[in-house]
Amino acid sequence: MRILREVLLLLALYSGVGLGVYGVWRLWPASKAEKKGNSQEEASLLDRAEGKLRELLRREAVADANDEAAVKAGLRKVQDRLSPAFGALSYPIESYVIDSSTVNAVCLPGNIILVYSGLLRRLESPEELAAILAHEIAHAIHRDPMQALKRELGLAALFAMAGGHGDGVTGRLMHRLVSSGFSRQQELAADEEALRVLVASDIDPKALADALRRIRGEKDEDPAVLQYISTHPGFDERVQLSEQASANWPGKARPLDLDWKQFRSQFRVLR
Amino acid sequence: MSETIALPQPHELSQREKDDALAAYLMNFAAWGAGLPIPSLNLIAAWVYFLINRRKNRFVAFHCFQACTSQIPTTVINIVGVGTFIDYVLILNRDLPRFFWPYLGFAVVTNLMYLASSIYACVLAAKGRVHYFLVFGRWAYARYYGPHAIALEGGTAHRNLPPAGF
Repeated sequence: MRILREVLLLLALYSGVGLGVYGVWRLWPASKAEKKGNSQEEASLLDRAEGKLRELLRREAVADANDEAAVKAGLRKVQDRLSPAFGALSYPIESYVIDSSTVNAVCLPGNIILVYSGLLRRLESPEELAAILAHEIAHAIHRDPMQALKRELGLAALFAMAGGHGDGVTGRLMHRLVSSGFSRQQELAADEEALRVLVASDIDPKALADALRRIRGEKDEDPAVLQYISTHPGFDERVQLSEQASANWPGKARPLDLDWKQFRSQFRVLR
Repeated sequence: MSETIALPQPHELSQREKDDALAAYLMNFAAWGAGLPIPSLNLIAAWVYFLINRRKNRFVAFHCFQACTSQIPTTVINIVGVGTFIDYVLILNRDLPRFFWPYLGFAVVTNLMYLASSIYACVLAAKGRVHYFLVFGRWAYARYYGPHAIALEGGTAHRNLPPAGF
């Protein structure tokens, strides 16, 4: 029985040391350090998940993108005009036009931006396209797509999803982001950033209000438009914000060198 | 009380026996001395030393066995720590898990405790004395001086006893 007593004593000794060390670790100025560690760990997980999702999306989601040279060049031209204003990002912005009747534009994880031709057909100038792109780029700057997915799916599920091999992952992600969109606060914050980018790029910030008005059109009941409005809340407030920024803008607009009619004529027959 | 073999007293032991017993505990620091983060190397060194010395002398074999077995818990603790580090950092290329840091503290404290016990046992062995580790000391004693040792030597059934009544 003495051996049993010694075994128990040994176990108690190790347990005591373990609990003691754990207690010290918990009580260290560490509640702060732990939180910092948690957020660092979470940020690191998000970074890795975003990297993997970017690879998946580039492989699958943009496979149907319009590959007309004129479309790509036009989009590139608008993006290049904006890029000095938004600085360096975790991943370079890649924007694509998707031929579809969908009236929407979406920022995906990994700074991939999809603009549907259904939306582009409603716009009347490259500046309006710049405003839409600036808005989506602002979502990328704020990392809204990853935050939205984390909120909806949870970090663990998101990471598991990113670790998949593409079997339906991109479809589910796209559906989540296109159907749920971002919060009103995120939209307004993205607009504020977009307006700053537009001003810094010598584009009248009113282009955003013009784009939004054209997207809405006259018929609010159009289901395609309703989708855009539902995923981009705060529509009237956004228009107002843009017009206000334009009124306060003392600068002079520098037109974008892009033949808009020729650019729009490159879209394929809508599905 | 079970029948046991009498423990040798310090004055009965030669210096060579004392040195061999002392060296058994020094084997525990083999990897540390080499500066290698290989947790099982100490155990292997102590085990090899035990295999070499187990038939030489009961006193030395006792210390070799105790030195070898007593480091099993810390070796397991160290293997888990090093294994986690290798798994996360070198294989998965991920950040270390949150539990790793308190676990590392636990491993450091238990290793230091074991180091102190080993040094103490080492010093006593050099003087021809015996220090019993918890559990493992009793195990080693049972093996080399207890009934198990008597049975191995032939057991009570083969011992010559005086006639009844004497």
